[in-house]
Amino acid sequence: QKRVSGKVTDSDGGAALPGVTVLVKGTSSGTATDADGNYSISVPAGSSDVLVFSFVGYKTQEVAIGNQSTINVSLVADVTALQEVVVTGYGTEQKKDIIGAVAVVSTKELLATPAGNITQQLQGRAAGVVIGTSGAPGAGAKVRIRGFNSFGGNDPLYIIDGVPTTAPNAFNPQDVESLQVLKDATAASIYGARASNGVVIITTKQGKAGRPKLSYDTYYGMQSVNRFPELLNPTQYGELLWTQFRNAGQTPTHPIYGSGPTPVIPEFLVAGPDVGVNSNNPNTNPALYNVTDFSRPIHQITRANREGTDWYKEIFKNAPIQSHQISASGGTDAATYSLGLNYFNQRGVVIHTGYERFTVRANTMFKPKDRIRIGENMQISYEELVGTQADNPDALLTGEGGAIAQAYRMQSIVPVYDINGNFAGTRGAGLGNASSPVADQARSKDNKNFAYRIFGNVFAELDILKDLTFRSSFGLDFTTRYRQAYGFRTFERAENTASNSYSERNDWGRSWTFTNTLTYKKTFAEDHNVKVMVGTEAIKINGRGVGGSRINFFVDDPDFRVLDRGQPVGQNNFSYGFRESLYSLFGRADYTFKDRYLMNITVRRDGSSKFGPENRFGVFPAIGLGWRISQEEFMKDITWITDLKLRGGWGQVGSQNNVSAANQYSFYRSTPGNSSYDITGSSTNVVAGFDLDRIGNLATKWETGVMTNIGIDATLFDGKWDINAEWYTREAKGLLIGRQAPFTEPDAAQPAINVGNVRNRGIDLAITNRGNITEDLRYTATLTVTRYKNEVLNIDGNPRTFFTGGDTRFGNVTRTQQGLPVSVFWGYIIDGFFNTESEATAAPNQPIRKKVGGWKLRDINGDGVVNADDQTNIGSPHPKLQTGLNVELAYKGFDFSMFLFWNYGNSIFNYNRWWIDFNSFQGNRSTRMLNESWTPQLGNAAKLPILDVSDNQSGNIPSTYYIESGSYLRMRTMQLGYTIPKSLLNKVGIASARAYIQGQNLFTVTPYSGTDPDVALQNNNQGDLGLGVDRGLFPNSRQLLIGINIGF
Amino acid sequence: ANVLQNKAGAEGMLIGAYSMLDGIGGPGGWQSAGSNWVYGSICGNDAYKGTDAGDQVDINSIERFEPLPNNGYFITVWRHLYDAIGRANDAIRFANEAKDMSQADKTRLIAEARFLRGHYHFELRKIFNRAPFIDETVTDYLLPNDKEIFPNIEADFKFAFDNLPETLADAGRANKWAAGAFLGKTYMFQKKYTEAKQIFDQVIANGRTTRGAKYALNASFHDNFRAATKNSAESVFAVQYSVNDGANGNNGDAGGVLNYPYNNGPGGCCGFFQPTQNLVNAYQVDANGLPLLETFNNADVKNDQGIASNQPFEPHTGPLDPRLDWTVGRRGIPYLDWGPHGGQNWIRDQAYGGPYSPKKNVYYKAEEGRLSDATGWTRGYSANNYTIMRYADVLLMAAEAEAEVGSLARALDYVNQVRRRAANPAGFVKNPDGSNAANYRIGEYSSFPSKEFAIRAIRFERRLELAMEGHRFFDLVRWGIAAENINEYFRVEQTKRQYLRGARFTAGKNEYFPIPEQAIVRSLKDGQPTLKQNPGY
Repeated sequence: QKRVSGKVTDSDGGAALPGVTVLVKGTSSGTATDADGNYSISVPAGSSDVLVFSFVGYKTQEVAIGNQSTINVSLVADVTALQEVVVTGYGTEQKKDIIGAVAVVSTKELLATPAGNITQQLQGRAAGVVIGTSGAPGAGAKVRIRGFNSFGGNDPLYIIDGVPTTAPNAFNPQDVESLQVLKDATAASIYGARASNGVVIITTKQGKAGRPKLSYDTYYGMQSVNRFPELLNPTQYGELLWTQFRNAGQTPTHPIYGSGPTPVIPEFLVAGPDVGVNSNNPNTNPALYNVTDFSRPIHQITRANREGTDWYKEIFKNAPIQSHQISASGGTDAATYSLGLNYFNQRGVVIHTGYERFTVRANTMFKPKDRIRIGENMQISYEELVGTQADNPDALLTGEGGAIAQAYRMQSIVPVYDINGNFAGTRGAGLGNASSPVADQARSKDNKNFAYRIFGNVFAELDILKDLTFRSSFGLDFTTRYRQAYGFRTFERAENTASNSYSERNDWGRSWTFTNTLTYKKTFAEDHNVKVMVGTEAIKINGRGVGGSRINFFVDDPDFRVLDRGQPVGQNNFSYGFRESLYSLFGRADYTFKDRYLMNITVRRDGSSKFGPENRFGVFPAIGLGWRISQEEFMKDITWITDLKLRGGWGQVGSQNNVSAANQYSFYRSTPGNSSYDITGSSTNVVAGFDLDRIGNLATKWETGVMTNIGIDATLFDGKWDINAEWYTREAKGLLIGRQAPFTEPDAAQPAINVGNVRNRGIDLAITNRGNITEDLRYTATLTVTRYKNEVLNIDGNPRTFFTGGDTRFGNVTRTQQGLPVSVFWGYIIDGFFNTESEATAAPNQPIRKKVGGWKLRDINGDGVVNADDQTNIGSPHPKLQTGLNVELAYKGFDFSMFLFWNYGNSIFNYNRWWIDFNSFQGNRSTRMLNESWTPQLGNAAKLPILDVSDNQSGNIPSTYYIESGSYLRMRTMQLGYTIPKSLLNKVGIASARAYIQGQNLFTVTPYSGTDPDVALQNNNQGDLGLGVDRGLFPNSRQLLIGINIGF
Repeated sequence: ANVLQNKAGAEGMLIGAYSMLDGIGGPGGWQSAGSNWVYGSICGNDAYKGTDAGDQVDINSIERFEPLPNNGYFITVWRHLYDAIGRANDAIRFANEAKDMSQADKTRLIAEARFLRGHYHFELRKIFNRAPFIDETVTDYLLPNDKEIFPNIEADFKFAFDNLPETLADAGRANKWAAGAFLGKTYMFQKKYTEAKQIFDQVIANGRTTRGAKYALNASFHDNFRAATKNSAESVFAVQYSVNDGANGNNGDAGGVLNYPYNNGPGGCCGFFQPTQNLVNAYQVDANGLPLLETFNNADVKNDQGIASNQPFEPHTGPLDPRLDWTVGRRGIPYLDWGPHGGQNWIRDQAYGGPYSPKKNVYYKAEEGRLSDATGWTRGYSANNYTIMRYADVLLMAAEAEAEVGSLARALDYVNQVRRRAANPAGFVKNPDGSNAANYRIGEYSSFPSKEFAIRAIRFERRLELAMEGHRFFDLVRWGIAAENINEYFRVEQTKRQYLRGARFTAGKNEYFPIPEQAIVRSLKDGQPTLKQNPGY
């Protein structure tokens, strides 16, 4: 026996490496380096033994002991990461052993996007994962893994430290240790009935044995939005009106612009009861002004804004975003800890909106005995959304009533304020019925939605035998949320609100997950690696909510906003509850022969309370096979192939997302407004009645996804190239969809039913190239390519059966039908214009007027009349390709990274055009409408039909006019950092320090005319049957940030 | 377990079915208002859409008779009516399965439900012509719209007439005589005048309200349009509106909530439903106080078009039927107790919507907050019932039936009963000093010299008496004169409302509105729509 000791350091920079495993080759005798990288080990004296130094992320090094008693080793980082341990379902695997489609996303890349939540950071980072983001503060992104497998509820399942959730927004991204996306059945079917849309597995930072480490990471930046549609100024608006009247054979007249030969902008829009007057009108006397005493007639006096108000500029203001993270971690061999404190604050680029979050994470683990480990992972968060009471700020800010749409629904002649500095609006006539978004936002600035959430688990692991481990984990996700909103009486609108009002709402939701697994792991005869895991899981979700509202508050003062300050007449209150549960059994077996042939089998049986007794249980099996070709003898000579693996898998997964917990039950309800009636004629009292609330369906069952995946992983030239390519096909059967009842049925919430099959086929590709350009200049470039093709194979057996979605003011504009992708745009094809009277006369009848300068619609079925049957597929919201290019450069202390994202080949239904290009509500209009409507000179070069004030039809049909290309190329992030040399820092006791500047969304190249082309996945909560309809979404902002990372 | 298959459940379901009469409470809104102000009155040239050009643009194309089948108004009224029908059918099903109901109770309840079901189908029939009839036995709702449903409607009203008691505890319920009157109306729409006359004879001779009051015309015309005097002897069947009942106005006249003067006038919003000049002109009378059947539209009743509210204006001085000023708000005439109508100041866009305001649906200032509800988004939710059928309507339909197949003398008598009531000077609009607000003159017809004259006079009388009450367009279609009447209206009216330029009623198409495209799309059976579009759309 003799002792060998030494120190293990990093070859790049020479830092000590703690925790490196040091083994005597061929034995189980070994140790690990301490916090300073030192080790000491006993080896048989005089042996020819070899020491093996291994550490995750580094190449394993073997050193013959010989006569040495001190062996210092410098480990080289292993860029191939084949030994990297990846967390997959209920366990871990080394990367080289993975058979399923698993995308490992680098934490560093994730954090390069400063965003409030992990879903927004995922965009473009993993092949096969399509993300649609919104710029709304605190808003999550839409995440779709490998296409659309269902007609709704396509959100993936998130597993954070083993605890499932579908709402990862409160989670602090800076706590991420690793993130994996499980994309196919082989990888995901261990999650059975909830895995159909893929699984995102997140583990949080754990402490490591060694000296305590402390770090501070912060960034601060400004966000801005600068891309707005071109709208008319007041003079142009008048011009548009006069042309419209004249073309319709009418004498121009307008309450504001007068009745003269040319439109005249008056001095005042409103003066008491008069509209469109000048200062000679006695009602413009400021002494008459009254907007506060509602017992007298409101007498508002508002000047016309001749130059025009740019409502976009009024509501979009530069806004700061910042994050502060303090992390501490450390531990001993017997206990580790990790603490993370984070404050995140994103003010919205739309005024008076914002999102703030405080999180505390505490992860600890104890090893009281060699065989026992217990610990916990926990995050406590406080989230606050300002300026909204909706859970998702998108909901209030977007859509036709949201601030963004109101910015174009307001005519530019309306100033922001009246003569006394109160809000001006559409009061009067001829100004439409929009509400000033500045007023709306200012009035809702004290509205809040805040939530406390505890998310985490406690766990215990016991090594029953050397190879047999029992693990038990109890996870809890508890959220309590409070919402409050005050509504003001208004005076400046065309349609005013008569009463002020206040509402409050409180709810809590709790879900617990109890998981128990038994894992057996053994290597037989050196070549046979076997791992078997069986487990059970029980999940219960329940919660309740309560709320109420009152009206007619005596004062609007924020200090008096409690319900009982309002009047009891007109009060409302409600409460509700929900519950659902899931019970599962699952098992998994992995077998590896000679590190070369890999196999894995999983099966899960789930029982869900969402389904009726007969269809409650579902079984979801999967199998995967892998072949590490590079390990074969005949490959040993091909040295440029470092690693090559071929793998394939088949399996089934399920989904119960698109079905409510109440699905199997039919309900009637009794409400004052819907089912009660004053049968006695009392005028003030109703007798309660009933009406149908929802229809249940006992027959509803699991949606099943059958997936096949074939993949190749290659590492070439010793890690210079990494290539990962996968082909997949997945067919979802028995799709769950909300029944679309005939409109001859009584109105009720409809159950989910199982209809149809949808197939997604696609390719995921990720290529990484890394190396040195000069000795000091290193680079890494990663290209990810995502392509899926989505097709509805069948709905109910009849190729003509379809589902509709994309509800607009003129009906549904999307259709889902056999042979087409989910949610294609459906409408008329415009074949230019009628340029002559005879052309119009000769054409078949069509739903919009046949007139010179009008659109010519295509008679698709050639039956001599254009009607509803002549609508067709006019565009798909699905991108043909999404690709992300990530480039990193390092030169001495400098580092540079950029991420370029390209979305190609989808169409957008730009519903905003209905509001600004046609005679819809009297909002503002586009310059397109003024300048590109048909004239004899423009002829077929025109974009829009001839201006005509009596044309109420052209815009009211879904047509190719609304379809625009949604392709775009966007510089998502660009970052330049500098790391201060350690030699300088050591003197002041700082371990590391780095500063960076960053630009986010620096440029976007797109033909799209709307504010943001990132629309593809937007469905405005209308389900995935109405994709890609732009209704005034919250645009992604440009951001400029500076950041600092300091470690102690 | 179904906890509603008993008396309480069936009765509650029936209340739910009644609650749909106002057009609100299911998927509906003002698009489906029980008063039919859009389809019946605006399309029947009683009223313009009103307000300004850009508000509720869906009505613009309806008013011009060029609506697209996907217009949101049609699907809303369609869905609302079928929801109402579903509730009536549920009431019948629950009653049939109830174990705790007497046979008499069951029969009464089913008769009430069938009355409502008949009424809702009648509405569908009037608006869309071809709409499937859904009864309580239907389980597959994908029924084609290829059959005439009047026989089914008739059967429902007949059953109700045969089985309902004469009196009931609640004023809002349909009784035997309401069913009789609706059955008569159903006959009228099928031109079954003989059957209509028979049933109207009974209703006129024996009809009573649910509370046992013999049907009669109110002494004062305007009592039909006041919350304080609702459910009178003239009220055959009405939508019961209630306010301040915990529903934030939803049980009040929520379908008519837009139909108030704009700005500082009553109700707070939104200036819709402005009477037409054509309607106002119809109230001009000759020296005998009789309407100008042929020439009423040759000269306009003087109005304040283009005159600012602070400029002087002298209202029309020629003789007028006194009902005008209970039907139309016009400048200078007392607008209930809200003071004289403010003219331009009360109108949102006079150049667009004309100088008049609606009046029959408006509540009194003295009733504000008590018989109106300000807990919704606007103040105009009123408890002023919309009377779907009033006795004057019965008399005028009876007069029509008499003129067609019976006695001109009886027709004359019915018409003169209606005119006599209108001529009651106590019922005229009065200035604060007690004088008449305008030069009112109304006389009775001395005779109907011919059937043709009688029919012309009766039709005109229907317009005067029932203007703005949602009947006119359906009457014009029923009489087969919609195209000529409406196109003549457009010819003249476009000189006053230029947005009507180019508007045209196409015979053979515009008598009915399009089957909502959304409903056709949702009617797929084996990939084929079971609903067929109406001709011309």
